[in-house]
Amino acid sequence: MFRQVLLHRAIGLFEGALRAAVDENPYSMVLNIRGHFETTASLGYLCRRLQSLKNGHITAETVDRNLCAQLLATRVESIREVPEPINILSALEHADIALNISVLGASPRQRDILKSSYEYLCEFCHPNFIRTPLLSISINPFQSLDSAMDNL
Amino acid sequence: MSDGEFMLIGYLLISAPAFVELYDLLPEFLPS
Repeated sequence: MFRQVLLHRAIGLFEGALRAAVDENPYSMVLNIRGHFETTASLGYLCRRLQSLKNGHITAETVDRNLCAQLLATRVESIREVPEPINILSALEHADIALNISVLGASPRQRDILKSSYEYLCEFCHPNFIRTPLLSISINPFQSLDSAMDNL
Repeated sequence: MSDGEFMLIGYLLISAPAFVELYDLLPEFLPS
């Protein structure tokens, strides 16, 4: 079921990113795409834990704990007795390893496609990114993004 | 289409196929 939840989320974010592109709204687009990376990371993390279980490196109880953390974890202090959330960069590392081994046929840490892309993408998500060009939204917001990229 | 738009769609085209691959891969690791 968790797989289906992630699929629903991934489709929604994918469609949201495309709608934002049509609306020429780079802010919404970049946040949707970042959310998509986080969804992929969550699925990759689960794959990796199950892969480790199959290889006998971890126990079923550990996987159970990890899955509970994925489903229930929060840092909201008012909600007690919930597991600590999994760090997103750590989840991305696991997802990259799962992709390297099972999809690309590479060594576990040969490529970090998801993590490096996510880190770069995050630079575009914050209000302080190359302040002036992005905050002064021109007729075409993508022109602002382009000029911001040129200034990198 | 602007360079910025191309760039962002490029990132989407990294994550989306990776998601599909992992989605298809996951059942292989589930206990039968």
